[in-house]
Amino acid sequence: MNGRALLLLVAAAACDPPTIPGRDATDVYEFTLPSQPPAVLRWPSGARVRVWVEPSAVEARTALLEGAFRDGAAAWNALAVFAEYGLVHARELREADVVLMWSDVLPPVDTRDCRPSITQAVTTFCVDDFAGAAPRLRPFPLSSSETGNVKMLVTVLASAAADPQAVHRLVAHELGHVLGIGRHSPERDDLMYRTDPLVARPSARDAATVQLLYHLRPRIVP
Amino acid sequence: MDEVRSGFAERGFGRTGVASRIACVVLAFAPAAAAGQSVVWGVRAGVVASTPLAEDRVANPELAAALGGGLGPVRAVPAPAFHFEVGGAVPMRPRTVLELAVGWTMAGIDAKDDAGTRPLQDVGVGHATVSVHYLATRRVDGGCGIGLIRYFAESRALFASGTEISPLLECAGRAGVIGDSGRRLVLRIAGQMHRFRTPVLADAGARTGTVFRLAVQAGVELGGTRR
Repeated sequence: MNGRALLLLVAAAACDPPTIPGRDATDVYEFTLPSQPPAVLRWPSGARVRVWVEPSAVEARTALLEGAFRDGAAAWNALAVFAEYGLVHARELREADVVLMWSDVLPPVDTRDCRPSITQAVTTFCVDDFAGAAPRLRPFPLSSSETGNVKMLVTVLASAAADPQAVHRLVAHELGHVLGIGRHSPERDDLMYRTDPLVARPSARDAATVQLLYHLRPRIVP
Repeated sequence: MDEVRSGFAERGFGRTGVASRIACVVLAFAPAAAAGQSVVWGVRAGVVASTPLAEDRVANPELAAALGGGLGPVRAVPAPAFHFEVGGAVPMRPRTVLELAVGWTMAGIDAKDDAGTRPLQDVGVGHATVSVHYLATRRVDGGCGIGLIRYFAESRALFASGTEISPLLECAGRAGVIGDSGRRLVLRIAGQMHRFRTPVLADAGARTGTVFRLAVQAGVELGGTRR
């Protein structure tokens, strides 16, 4: 290599901005919806996803759910270094995209056409026109008959309230599904591990997965 | 402008090395400022453009191909922004002056990728430089210097875990005319280069990179001794 080429190489390296290298396949896990065919679901780039925490009759349980949301949202938002998404607290139900609630609370939305299953915690949504050109999430009608925009329902089993730390882990995990991670990680260290999560914060693999997700073109946009 | 500076009395620092010259900057300015007439004071404002502060390549080529491609990088790019600077210069030699300047930029950072451009966050950028300028002609001078730069921002996104002060290199050229009132109107173009990394980028595995800023400024200068 002659001196001029070396100089150009050094100059090129010196001109690079701080760069996060590209992930490889071992840095991420499968995240597409387990549909036929698998589909990428995510919010539009830069979206602020508004989450309403439905109050419980027991104030402490409402506070627990709100605290779990706050911590989980902060942990996921910290990974959106380029503002790909933002989980925020909805000030009122009418503006919410997502409802977070205990399983023994009367849902503020009509779930007759899109029923949540009963597990420790579950994120429920239904897709309209899945085979069509532009499948969308079906909004849940508000029980109050007001106009709303709720697309996802996150339900936490009421009995989980006995273990506040578990609630934090469960809510953080479900927020990963809210963002669009449609499957589970096989690794126990990941927040999106297939059974009850053992950690309350996204791991490096969770981070790489959600960052990859938010730079793919989605087939389904809520 | 150079008509003023070419009239400075010689005031060299001798051959004591770069470090001691830098250390002498403050000492040089204090007596000169006290004397009043030897110091040229200037204020200038303009626009700064910057290269990206950070880039995320998202996926390596193999993974991008496996996912059907379409995975372009995302960059954090400061938008062209208003810039304000104040400075003072004292003579070193007949055609050489030492300049001290501090500046501030308010900029919005945008995230740019295949999905488009979206606002990321606002930053304030403060810098201070010490530079040596050579008076090339009666109206034009140019020089280079060193300094420090720091980004100030709300604790989120790129700056969620704070920022660091970085060393800075600056080269600038300036042309000026003297107005009727004795004020010198100047047009200045400056290029700055600094290393940049935040703790968030470090946690994400980013290596330290380089950011270039180009400033175009207009301003006014006062003071100094005219020949």
